[in-house]
Amino acid sequence: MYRIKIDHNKCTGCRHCEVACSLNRLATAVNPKRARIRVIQEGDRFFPVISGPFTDASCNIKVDIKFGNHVYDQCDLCRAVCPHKSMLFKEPDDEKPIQCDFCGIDAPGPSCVRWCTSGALTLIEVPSYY
Amino acid sequence: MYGWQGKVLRVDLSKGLIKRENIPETYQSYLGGRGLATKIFSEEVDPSINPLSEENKIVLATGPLTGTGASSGCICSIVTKSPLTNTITCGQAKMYFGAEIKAAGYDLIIIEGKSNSPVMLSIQDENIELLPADYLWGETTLNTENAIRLAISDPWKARETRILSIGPAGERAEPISTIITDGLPVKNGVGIGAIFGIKGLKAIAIRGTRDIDLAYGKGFIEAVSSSIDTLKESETSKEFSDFGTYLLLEPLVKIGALGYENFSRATPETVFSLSAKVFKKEIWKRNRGCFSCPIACLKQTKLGFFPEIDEFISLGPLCDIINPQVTLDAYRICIEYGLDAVEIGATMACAMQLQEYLTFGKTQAFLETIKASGRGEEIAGILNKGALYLARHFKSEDIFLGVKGRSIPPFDPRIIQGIGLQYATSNFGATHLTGFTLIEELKDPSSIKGKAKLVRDYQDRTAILESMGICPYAQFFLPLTIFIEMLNQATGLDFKEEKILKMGEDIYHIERLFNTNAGIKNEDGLPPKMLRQPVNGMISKLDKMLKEYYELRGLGGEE
Repeated sequence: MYRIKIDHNKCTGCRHCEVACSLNRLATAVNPKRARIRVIQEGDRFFPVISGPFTDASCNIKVDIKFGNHVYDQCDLCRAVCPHKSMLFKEPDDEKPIQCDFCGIDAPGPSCVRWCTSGALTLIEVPSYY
Repeated sequence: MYGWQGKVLRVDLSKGLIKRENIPETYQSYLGGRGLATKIFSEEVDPSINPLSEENKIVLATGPLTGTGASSGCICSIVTKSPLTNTITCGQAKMYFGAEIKAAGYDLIIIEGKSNSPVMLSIQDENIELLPADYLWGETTLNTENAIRLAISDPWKARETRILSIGPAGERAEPISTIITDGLPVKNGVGIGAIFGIKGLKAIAIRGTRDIDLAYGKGFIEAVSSSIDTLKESETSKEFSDFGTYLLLEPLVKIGALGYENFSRATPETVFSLSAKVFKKEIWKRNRGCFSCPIACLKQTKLGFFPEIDEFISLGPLCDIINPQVTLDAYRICIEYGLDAVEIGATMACAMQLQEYLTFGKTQAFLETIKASGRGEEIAGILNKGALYLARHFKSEDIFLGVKGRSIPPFDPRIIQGIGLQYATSNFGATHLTGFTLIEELKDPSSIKGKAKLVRDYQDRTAILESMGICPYAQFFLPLTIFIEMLNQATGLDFKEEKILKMGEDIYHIERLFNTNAGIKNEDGLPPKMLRQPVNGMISKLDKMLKEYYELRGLGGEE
């Protein structure tokens, strides 16, 4: 089973993955706002987040995540397409949710991984438990 | 229309009018970015105006590849007439600003007129407003960005809003002020901040959600993928990612080409302690890339960006500061107040050489002076008009080292011959950024053979890349043909390399003609010191190169 491994220490914030994703999805247009992977900036760190399941209500647990001396909001890393994140992972015009479909799993790999030169996104094989 | 969005936004600050126009029909012969902006600017603006008058305009232009995801396609060129040099000038806004203009559905933004009170231009796709910005006036650039983001009710939209702003130095219309976007100064932006300030435009905040249509999506993906494969295999591009422009530091120190103490002495051994490897280990936290840049040459530190090599040397060895932490602090102050690091460094080096206010190597006084000049205290009246003004003020003009009123970057043209020709012939005053021949010249710095052609080729290639919207640093790793392929796939048109290079030359000539009409004639030269006073037994052999260069350009000597 393949998974995309994200190493946010390596992410340079170039957002080439967003472009790759939107280009792959829209075929003849580019629009990072319609990508299924978004790079979220918090201070000087970047978190590439791949869109996950749609929820129609936002959760009421608020968890803070600590990296080093900095405390981050969990919503920065959460993959859910939820009402709290106003327009993240939603079409800008009609607000329909969009979800990662792990495009091109065979030969070239998902397009975001293919265009990531910094090494923040890599495709790894993990044992299947199902 | 593919690649281009086909829309121009014209903002008249005097009347508060905002118009949406179609892109001029000549767009295909100048592509966009620097080329199209220069063309529009030279047609609309009388070259003889005072840069700080109401008639001056600012043209912000993206190229057909900006924001499309083409490798390093992040550039937004900003063309205006500079108060420092009195010439036309073009700065490159990096990071995400250019891509966001494209995403909002525009190719160009033209700003004209003058507002009576401070304003901020806010663009959200079709919703364009001029908002009062009195509460931002006087704030540093970082505070301005934070305040604008805080004022946006939705925090997720606030994060995606990209802001271009001036600091207090720009508000006072000081000739050495620049513009800041996302904590990074606009490259080559010296003087542009003053035009924003005199027009009362504190900031531009932009967020867009539109598609950019491409002609052949599949071909475009292939072209970009092949460029990424080339980069992944290339050793130099990996080194450039690791060390950024500091790749040049050691070779430059070795041949003694760093300007030390305002070029007054040969580089001493203490400078050898500056090493990119040490910076990487101790100061840099991670690499940062501008929009869709697979190279990512910028360096993040705890205090924001680390200066690039030209800024580092200007705020370091040029003033005899051999301490990267102090230079970083100084750079941070420059960013907060919107000062151009290269020009303020050169100006302070001049003051140090004259023993006025400052002396070489005194860090505390150095930092305090930068802050004072940013805040606009008494000393700013002399420092913030640039090195030429300072040298004239103290009646020792020979101390000013520059061309067309702008100080030369801290790479010694006596040691590296070609860069001297570039300083002399650049249309924006002495700068290395429009013809970055340094890397190629390191093999043979002292020869003048073929340097005229090298400089011309670099100038044309840089002009055309900036017109496409590609960062000029990309030319060191990727051939021009790969970008032409991307351009053809994105726009659906058929551009040939020959025609593209011709466009680069046209852009140079338009800029030059503008300068001639502005009264800048016979100023292609270097400071007398560089031609007569040797360092390590070398002087600049500019005359010979200049003759060859004029022949290549078809200029037939000076008119």
